[in-house]
This record gives sequence, C-alpha cells and structure tokens, in this order.
Amino acid sequence: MAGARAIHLRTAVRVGCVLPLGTWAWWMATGGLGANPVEASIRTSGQWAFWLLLACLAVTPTRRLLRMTDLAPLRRTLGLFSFFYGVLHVVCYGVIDQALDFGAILTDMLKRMHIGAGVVAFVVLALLAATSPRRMVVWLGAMRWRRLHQLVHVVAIVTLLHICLLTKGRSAEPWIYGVLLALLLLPRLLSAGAPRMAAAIWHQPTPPHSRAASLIIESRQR
Amino acid sequence: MLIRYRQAADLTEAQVTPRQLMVGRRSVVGWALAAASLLPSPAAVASTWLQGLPRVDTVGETPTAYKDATSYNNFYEFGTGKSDPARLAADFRARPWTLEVTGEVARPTVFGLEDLLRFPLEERVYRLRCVEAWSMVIPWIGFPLAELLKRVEPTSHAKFVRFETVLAPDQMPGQNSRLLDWPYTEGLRLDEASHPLTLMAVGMYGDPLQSQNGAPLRLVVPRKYGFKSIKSVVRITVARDQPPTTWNRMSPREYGFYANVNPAVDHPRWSQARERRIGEFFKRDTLAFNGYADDVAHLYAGMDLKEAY
Repeated sequence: MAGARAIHLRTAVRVGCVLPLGTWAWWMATGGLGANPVEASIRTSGQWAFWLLLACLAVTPTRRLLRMTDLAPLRRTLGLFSFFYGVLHVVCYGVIDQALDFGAILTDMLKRMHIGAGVVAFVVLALLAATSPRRMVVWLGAMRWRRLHQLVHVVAIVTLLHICLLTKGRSAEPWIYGVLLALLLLPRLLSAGAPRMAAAIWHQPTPPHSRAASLIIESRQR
Repeated sequence: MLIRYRQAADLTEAQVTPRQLMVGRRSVVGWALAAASLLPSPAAVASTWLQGLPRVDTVGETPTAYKDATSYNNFYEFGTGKSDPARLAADFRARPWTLEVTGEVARPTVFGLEDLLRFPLEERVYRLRCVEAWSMVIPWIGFPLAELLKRVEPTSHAKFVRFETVLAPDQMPGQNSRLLDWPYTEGLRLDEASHPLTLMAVGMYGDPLQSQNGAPLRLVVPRKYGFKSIKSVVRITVARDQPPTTWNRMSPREYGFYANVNPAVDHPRWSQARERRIGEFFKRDTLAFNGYADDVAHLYAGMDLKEAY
C-alpha cells in the first residue's frame, strides 16, 4: 500500500512541477508575460528553480517528522525539476537576453558577483543532476555519491547569495528565503552535533551500514 | 538639437494614440449618450485640452505601445513588481492637487493643477531609458520646467532644484514598507533643470497621466536614467546645496546624483552598453546621454563622467 501511495505522490509532484512550465508557455503564446517577456522569463524560471530546490531540501525533514520513508525519492524528482528550471533560466539569460554574446557573458561572470554566484550554483547543480541516475550511485560508490550530493546545501546557499546580490532596495524577499533556508538547514547541522560541525558536513549521523541499507531501499523504491 | 515644430496636419495620430483608456470610459458614457447627448462627457473634456498641441518628436520612431507604457514600470510607492503600479494605483487620488515651489526663489508659490495646465503645453516624443537597461519611446504632454522656474524667480543663491513625491501611505501601499526612505526625492542642478528638454509632464499619449505613471504631474529628464524623472511631485525646492536624493542615498555606488545615460559607465551589477527597447526582442546599443548628447553634453564639459556618474 505504501508503494502505491509513493507512486501517487510522485505523480502529483511531477504534475505540479510541470505546471509552471505550462503556464509560462501559455503566457508566452498569449502575451501574458507583459511588456518585457524576456525579463519576466528569466525572473520566473529562476524563481521556480529556487523554490523547487527549497522543496527538495524540505523532503528529508518532512520524511523524518512524519516517519514517511517513502517520501525519499521525491528528493530526486524535485532536484531534477529544479535543475530543469535552472537550465531554462540560463538559456533565457544566455541565448535570449545576451544573444549568445560570449564576450559579454564572460565579462558578466567575472565582473558581477551575482552572475558569478549563479554560475557556480548552476554548475554544481548540473553535476548533481548528471550523477542522479542509479547507476551513477553504483559507479561512484554509495559513500562518495552521498558526500557529493551533500553539495546541494552549498547550491542552496550560493543561490540565496545570488538572489541577495541582485535585489534592489530593502526588499523582504531575500530575508524570507533566508529564514526558510535556515529552518531547513539548521536541523541538519544540529542533528550532527555542534562540536563535530565540520564532520557533519561530510558524514551522516547514522552508522555506515544503515546508510548503505537505506540507500538500497531508496533505489529500489525508485 | 534641431527642434522641429511640425504642422498639425503632419501628425501621425494613429502611431501616437492608442487611446484604450478613453475608449473604456466612453463605453460607459456611450450608454447614456442617446439620453444625454446634449451634455459634454467628462472624457470628452479631458481629451480636448490635450489635443492639437504643438508636437516635437526627438526620436523619429514608433512610440511604445500604450498598454506597455501603462502596465510596465517602476514606481516603488506601489510595489517593486513591474506590474504593481498599474495593479495597485487604482485608489490613488490625483485630484485635487497642489504643487508648492519654495526655497531660494523671490516668489514662493503654491500652484493648483489648473494653474499648471495654463503653462504652454506641448507634446514631446522622448526616449525613456531605465537604469535597469530597458527603454521606451513616450509621447509626453507637458511644459518646460524652465517656464515654471522663471515664474518663481530663483535668487542669485539658487544652484540646485529638489523634487519631492507625495507622501500618501493610505493610497500608496509601497510606502508602508521600508523599501526606500519615503517620500522619494530627486534633484537636478539648476542649469539642468532649466534646460529646454527638461519637462514637467501632465499627460502622455494624448491623455492625462495615469496614476501608475506619476499622475498628475511628473518630471521628465530624457537624458538621465528613469529614476531621476520623479513622479507625482508635490514640492519643488530651489536650493543652494546639492540635495540628497533617494536612490543615491540608498546605494551611492550604483546610483549617482547625475545619472546621465552613459553606455561607457556600467552599473556595478550590469552593463549599460545595451538596452532592450520594450516591444523588441533583442537588445540595441544605448546612446550617450540617451541620444541627446548634442543638446546637453556642454552642461558637463570638463567633468569626468566616470566619476560624476
């Protein structure tokens, strides 16, 4: 029964993740994006990438809180959709906004901190997306794969930095995101124990054998 | 610049006035029209005093669509989103309105809006370049600020002009946040303010200004980034010293006091070399002083424009 629930849940999440793309395409076709569709596309695709990243980070705390092990595969679904909107974001910026002017893009990357931060976040997220198939877990080894995918926390923090750096005026938006992200990250740090904070970044609190076991269970559920 | 006064017969009205607003009002009026055909409708009155004005086109390109110019802009008094002003300005009351002109002037005056409409109005088609690298072409209706300044007679101490937006948090939701320091203020050097291109606008596209565009009275300085063209002005103070201005105080490295459009000086967060004209897909090159260099460059002779950005 739990398996059926997981499948329904994953279908619902997938549909939910495709909806923004559908809305965007509809607006694109009907002029709903307003006077500056390029700017609107860049902004909304980036927002969806970040929101789905936050949703991805919310899976583990929710799973622990509700004791619903079968939520675990949603991390991959949400993470990949976050990457998908990230790709859209980068394409809108590079192809439409900058018209593939690589000189201008390179200058932007080097001269402007928010673009640099965005590039770092995107490259790392691309690395995580590329190593998301099951056989990559086998190829890398479960331990190394896990450590690599801890980088998702770095992606979230660097993306928040990207947002802070491009906000104008005293907007509340980055503060709201900051609080949300802190709420999602703090339990992870605390569960590992403050004295061993450094180790906590690379090691899970659970013993190795159960970590490997849970990974096998998760991969079966996919 | 050569200021060309065209004959009324040369006007290409179709290009300049997609008058959705008036059409909307008239549809309401239309129902009553058969019964009350002898009474002039308010819409008809509003449109006639802005029609048939002398027209100066400094651009020579098709103006931005009226819908875009009235639905996409920055006016943080109503919110940070580009569509917030159009969405949230419905409750804004632009009438009655007074403009107080004080400071280093021989004749401090409080003008009613009706007084201001008696200045020689004309239509001016100007480029508008936002500091965020998008741009429009707008047919403004207004009068040169120089005419207003002449009326109040600046004293020999007058060096700068300070402008202030209305403070009305009950009608401007953005003013309830700490987004910026309210009220919004801007400033010009007196010679910049007195330049014939500097306009006090009361209308656009043949209609009175919409609330989201700074009704009922706003500054238009086409050679400077849009944030200098302060909206919904209630006070003008002629001053001895350079006044503090909102964005400059907020982030001096990003927004200079002068803020002349300059493709050679980047904003710290993006390039100013190119701009996206609203309605066009790809960007076009930004012009020095937004295309008005011949008219205004002499005002900044000897100044390092990289320093005085």
